[in-house]
Amino acid sequence: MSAAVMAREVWVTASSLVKGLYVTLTNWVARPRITLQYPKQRPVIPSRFHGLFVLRADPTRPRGTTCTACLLCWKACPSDVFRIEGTGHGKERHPTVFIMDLSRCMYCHLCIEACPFDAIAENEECEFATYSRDDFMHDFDLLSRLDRPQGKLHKELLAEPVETPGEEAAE
Amino acid sequence: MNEAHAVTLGEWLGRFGLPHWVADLLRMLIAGVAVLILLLLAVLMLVWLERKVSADIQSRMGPARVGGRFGILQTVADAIKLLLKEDIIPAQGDRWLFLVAPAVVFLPAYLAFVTVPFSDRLKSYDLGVGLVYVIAVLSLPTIGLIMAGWGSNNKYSLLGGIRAVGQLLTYEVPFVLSLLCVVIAAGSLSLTKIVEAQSKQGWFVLHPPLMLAFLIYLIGGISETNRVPFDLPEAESELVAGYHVEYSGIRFAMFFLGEYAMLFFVCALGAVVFLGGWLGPWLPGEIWFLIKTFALVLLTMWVRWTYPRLRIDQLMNFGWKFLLPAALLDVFLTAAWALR
Repeated sequence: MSAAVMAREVWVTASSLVKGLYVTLTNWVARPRITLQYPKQRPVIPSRFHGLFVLRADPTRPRGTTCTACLLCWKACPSDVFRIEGTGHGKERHPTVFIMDLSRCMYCHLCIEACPFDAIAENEECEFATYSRDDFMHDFDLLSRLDRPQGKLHKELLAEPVETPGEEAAE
Repeated sequence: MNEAHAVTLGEWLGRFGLPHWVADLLRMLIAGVAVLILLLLAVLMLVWLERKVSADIQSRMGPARVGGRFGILQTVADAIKLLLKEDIIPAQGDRWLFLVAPAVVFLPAYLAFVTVPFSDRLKSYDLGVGLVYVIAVLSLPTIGLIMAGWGSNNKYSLLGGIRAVGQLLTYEVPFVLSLLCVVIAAGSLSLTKIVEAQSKQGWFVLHPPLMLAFLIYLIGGISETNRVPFDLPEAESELVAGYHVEYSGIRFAMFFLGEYAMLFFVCALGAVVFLGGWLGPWLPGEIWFLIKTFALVLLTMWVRWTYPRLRIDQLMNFGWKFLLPAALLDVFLTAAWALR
């Protein structure tokens, strides 16, 4: 190694050390804080966020739901989340039992992609931790009420008493 | 130092008519406890500071909950947590080496602090050969590290301990040579005398040959404290945690304490021998001493959160082929400069 090459190497090494220090110093002084202090500060949730599952309402259809109980979501689901029973023929077909066991769900959203009527969708809610395993069993009633226009949070809905016992309770 | 109204602690204790040896013992006890408390407080502060500085550099928040908005009490909370944890001792290890090692790592920093003059009136013991004592004591923690490495009966621990020794051998030499430059310039080994020499000649960092010595001192000091980029003894990506793999609870905390006490000491010594110790206008000397020490601490933290770790061969290459010749050259330069 010639003296010139060596001198150059030493210079490159020394100057890059200083450059590194400069980069960290700018961060240190400017302090760009990107941490979100979560429980105090809330994230802005994008409108297409994949949150909690809902069943879309359609007042013109029987039982007021878009769902036709075609079981495509049930077939698409890799985790065996759904328990669906339907009744009626043709345009009258609708679910009598629709239960999602979210404790099994891995939120792959294959059910949403499978649904031909966009009956199953998701809202923007991201906080649905509960203290009870039973609370993960979302029945037809809860899934319908979680639809966005209702505007109520998951935990508020869980706290509400069930007004009308669903048809699945009658079986 | 104004001799007219300066009363040392020993003289003050002597006024109570205590037997000589009792007064002496009391004096030692008070000075020792005071230095220990200062050291522990400094370490608490340093650990918190390190976490804040690293967070700032990495665009994070750092501790922000315990003890108010800035998380001042985070270290205290962590210390309490570590105290409450189980103290696990490896069954197949060398029990006594394992138990004693954390103390051996912490004690030297404490012992070395005894000679540091915080100001012209606040110092526990002005040793005539202070610097020699300091250098001797500073190399002791490495024995603690190899004890921990051997006593743990763990491959990673042992590798960490061996690396610690290799690193110390490499960097102790330039480190001591850089201090030798100061001794040449000041004409004394006493830390107090070194600061007094700086009041006449100006801070030693400001003189060209000693500037280089200061740089070598910093590199050697960072290596001495086993901090990034020289943290090979505890390189977590290769050695899990190096010599303290097997340690838990309060013994682990002792290593932590030792590491930061050492850092504080190296920075304090740097402030004393290169930055003029307590010298400075307006403010009291103790404050100046602390300002300079913490400036050096921040510098080492800045370096730590900037650079990656060196490889072991790079470390040895740099130490023997670059740093040692540079330090030797600097001794000559300083001698020539002192003779001018």
